[in-house]
Amino acid sequence: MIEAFLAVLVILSASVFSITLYYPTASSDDEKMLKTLGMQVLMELDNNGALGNFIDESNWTAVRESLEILLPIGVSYNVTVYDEAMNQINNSTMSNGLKGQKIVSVEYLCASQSSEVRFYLVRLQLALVR
Amino acid sequence: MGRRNSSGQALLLGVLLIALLLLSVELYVYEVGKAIGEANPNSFSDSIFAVRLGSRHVVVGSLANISQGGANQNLEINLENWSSFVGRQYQLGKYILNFTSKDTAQYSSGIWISWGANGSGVSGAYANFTLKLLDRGTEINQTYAINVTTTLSIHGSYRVIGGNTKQVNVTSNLLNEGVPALAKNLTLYYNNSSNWIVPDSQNNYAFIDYGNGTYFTSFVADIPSENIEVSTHVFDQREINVQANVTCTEI
Repeated sequence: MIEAFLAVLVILSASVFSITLYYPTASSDDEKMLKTLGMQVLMELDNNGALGNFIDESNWTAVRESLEILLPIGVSYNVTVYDEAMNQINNSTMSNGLKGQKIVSVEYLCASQSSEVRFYLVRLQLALVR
Repeated sequence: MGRRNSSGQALLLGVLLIALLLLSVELYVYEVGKAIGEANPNSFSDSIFAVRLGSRHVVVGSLANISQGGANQNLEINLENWSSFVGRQYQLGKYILNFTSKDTAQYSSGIWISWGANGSGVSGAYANFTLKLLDRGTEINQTYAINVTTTLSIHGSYRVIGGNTKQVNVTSNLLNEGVPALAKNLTLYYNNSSNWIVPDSQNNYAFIDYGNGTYFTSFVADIPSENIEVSTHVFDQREINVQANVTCTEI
């Protein structure tokens, strides 16, 4: 009798544990969408070398304004720019107040198009505001 | 009694084994699903495109530097640094970026600078790349070439107004990778007794920008020689410098 009870308990525990392993597809779709969006926005901004030039000139206002034009409403963001040695170089915040249940991070390698070529890592964090 | 106990234990053991089997299968499916979710093809293609775009910016920036007097080796030095920078990143896996700069009759260390006296000037850079992206069970190889070429062609003519006074007309055409492109800055010089002079308002200097990469310049000057040599120096929108000289024909 007690063995049967234990067997049922084991089966139930295994079922409960397997439910917690369920991969959250809906949330993952949002993450994928945000990552793709972030990469596309940065590539659009970098297409003609504008992103690298803004960073070369420490024109953080231009980066912020460009992102606010390119990102759809309902997406909050935060940008951090690092130099080759991974030191943060933006001395002002570029963000519209990052908030959301799930925050994704996109890292973009950027080379400036100026005659003194410099390399940057741009980290764009995005979240859906619900 | 003993038989009942052992059959109960066997049942329990069997159930435990089945539960373990189920859990391990579910764990495997979960891990595989997570890996696929993290590394979707869009991420790879976007990431490869971004590295490719960066490679292009490095070639453009290096050519701008070299066309303004920098050493030809700057292209390879900058590309070496870019490859190293890319290789240190692990967003989607391990990147390995290799390049070879073009070395042919025209190109030296990937650079082609030819500012001739025949009315044509070229500033160009060319490099081939191979990008390898290694991830868990994934290997993506991408080969691409970056060719950046700024071409200037000029045509000059003049007519004698009286004595040594001549009116000179020069038309310049600028191309980026064979496509008409706008200049950021254009300066015209003329040769007068081995001195290169920039015409100004005292020379009735006129400049027309047709907005399609074609520029017309005109001026009047006292030039004793019948060989009127002009030189056009242009910076395109990417800061690449190109120059061309030509001897004007009389009309």
